[in-house]
Amino acid sequence: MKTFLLFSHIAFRNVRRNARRSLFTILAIAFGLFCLIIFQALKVGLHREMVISTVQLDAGTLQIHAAGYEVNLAALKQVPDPGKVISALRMLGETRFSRRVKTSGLILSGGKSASLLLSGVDPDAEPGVTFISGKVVKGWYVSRNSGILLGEELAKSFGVQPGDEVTLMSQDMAGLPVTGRFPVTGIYRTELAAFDRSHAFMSIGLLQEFLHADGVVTEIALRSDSRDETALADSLGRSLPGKDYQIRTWKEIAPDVIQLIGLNDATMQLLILIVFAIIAMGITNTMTMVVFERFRELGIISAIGTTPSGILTMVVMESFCLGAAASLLGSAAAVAACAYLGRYGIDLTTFTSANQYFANSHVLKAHLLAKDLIAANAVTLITAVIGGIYPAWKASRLKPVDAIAHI
Amino acid sequence: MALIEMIGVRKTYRTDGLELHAFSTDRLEIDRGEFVCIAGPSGSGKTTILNLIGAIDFPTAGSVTVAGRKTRGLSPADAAKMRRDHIGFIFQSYNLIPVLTAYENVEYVLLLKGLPAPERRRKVSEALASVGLKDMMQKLPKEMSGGQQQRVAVARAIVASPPIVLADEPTANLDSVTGRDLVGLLHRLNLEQGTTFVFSSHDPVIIEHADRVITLQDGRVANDRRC
Ligand SMILES: Nc1ncnc2c1ncn2[C@@H]1O[C@H](COP(=O)(O)OP(=O)(O)OP(=O)(O)O)[C@@H](O)[C@H]1O
Ligand SMILES: [Mg+2]
Repeated sequence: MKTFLLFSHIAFRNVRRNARRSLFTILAIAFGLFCLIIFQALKVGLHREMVISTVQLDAGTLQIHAAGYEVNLAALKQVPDPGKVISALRMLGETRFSRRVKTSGLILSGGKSASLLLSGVDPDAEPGVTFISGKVVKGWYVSRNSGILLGEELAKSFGVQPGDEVTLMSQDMAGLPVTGRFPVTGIYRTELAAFDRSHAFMSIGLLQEFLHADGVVTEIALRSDSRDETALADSLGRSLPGKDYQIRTWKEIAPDVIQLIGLNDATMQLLILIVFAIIAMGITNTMTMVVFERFRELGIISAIGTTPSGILTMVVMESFCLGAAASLLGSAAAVAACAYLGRYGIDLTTFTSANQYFANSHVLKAHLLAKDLIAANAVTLITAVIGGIYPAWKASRLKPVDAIAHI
Repeated sequence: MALIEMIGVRKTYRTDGLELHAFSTDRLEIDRGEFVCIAGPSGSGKTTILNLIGAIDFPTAGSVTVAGRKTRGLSPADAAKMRRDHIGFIFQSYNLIPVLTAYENVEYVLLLKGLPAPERRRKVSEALASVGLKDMMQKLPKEMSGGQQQRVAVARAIVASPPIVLADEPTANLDSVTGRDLVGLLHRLNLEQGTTFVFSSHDPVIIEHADRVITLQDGRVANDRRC
């Protein structure tokens, strides 16, 4: 222990001895670490944005449908006994859920028509699940028995304003065509124009009436930000036994998001591997130079009784000190940069305006997780030690007789 | 048994297929408390013999026994421990660890031996006092003159009270007055503490100080006289 402290002490002083070279090495490692921490934090921020965009635009954390439900099938498939599902959700301690009726339809106005997805939502419960209510730019969000909420893009191309009327066509419960005129009561705008063009909302009561589907619910969406969705789906499945229901998590609803996150993670891991390989080579290079320069000094240290393992420790500790200094510097800079990027973010509108993963916002904000920061630093220190091992091993095998003869 | 025994020793270096006999002797002994100078012209084998005694180098044939232990066949780690426990070294120049102060350089060997702090403090102070450098303790090697650095090296060599101190041309890089002072210091330590000193030199003024002069010629002992 005493000798370990002694060797560490010498190692530390040796780092300061060739201050400029040490500084360059430290800066290079710190820069690599800095970039990795920021990339990682931006990646986490990106993934959060993608998840928010998926969960809070429409999907929710979980959706409950009648067994055999298929997306985009016009025929209404009723959730059997929605009350039972709701009490099961309440039993699980969940409060943010919303009953919906979804169907496809046609909107007509002034000689133009477009197909769209009509959602009948519970005006009180839906804002707890999705963020559409917060994206209303004109008029108001759906309220009981009033009119229809259109996306800005659609309203613009139809030239309609709140107060104007549009015609809707769809199929009722029995599969018969229905037509109705509805006043436009609100206009919303998400960051995703494609969504806005094809999604319209009204109160669930109004849509049920239009579709002659009194009391019918086709979808129950649940939002739970803190619980693991798969575990939640499992417990819900246990409290709703039998073959009546189909429970799907957002990961099943939007597998593309999960795949993209997985792809990003894999790319990041490759990047991390490359950066740390470069760091390790840099350290090995510096320490090899150090050992070469101190050939005679190491010979004297060995001659006066330092064991090979002692010399190994001394050189590895020097390498570790370089890593530790870089770790402190790189982390401090990265934490500061992440704080800034977490607050102000990077505006990616030009790259993401038509991207489904950015329905909520185009500003990418960094999100630094403590575990990522700790892991990045741990890997830096381990890399520093690994990078020092080869030169240290060479140093430990120096023969003092050769070293002393070398003046 | 003598403190240092060389029996049937031969040291050959092989470079590019050429064999070079650097040093050989049938029998050479040095006793406890001797103050020995290895003399001889350049290339005569002075450094070689000191390295063999110091377990820095090992004989090609024969045996070197130091303080009752054969040096041949020791692993690098065991040789290091043997040097740490039995031998003090003073080299011609650049003896000290540049990043450590005079005090820390001397303390280094005691830390290697794991001595407790109060004992270290006492011994280091004593050693530095005995070489007359008590107020240089906090200086780094580069802040000291060549003679002062050599005296710190002497303090480091004697601080752990090893039975043997080896010094390969300790005065070669010093001016004659400083060189003579240094040998005077070694002699005083030899008389006061009974430490065995074996040093090399080709300076007649320095050689004069020794109690025993072993003169080498072409890797063999040409003359061994006690004064
Ligand atoms: N590592 C080595 N490889 C090859 N030959 C060597 C080696 N070390 C020493 N020698 C040779 O061994 C002989 C003795 O060398 P040594 O260094 O012991 O002489 P020395 O008396 O110390 O000389 P100097 O006064 O110049 O220091 C010389 O001929 C030298 O060239
Ligand atoms: Mg020599």
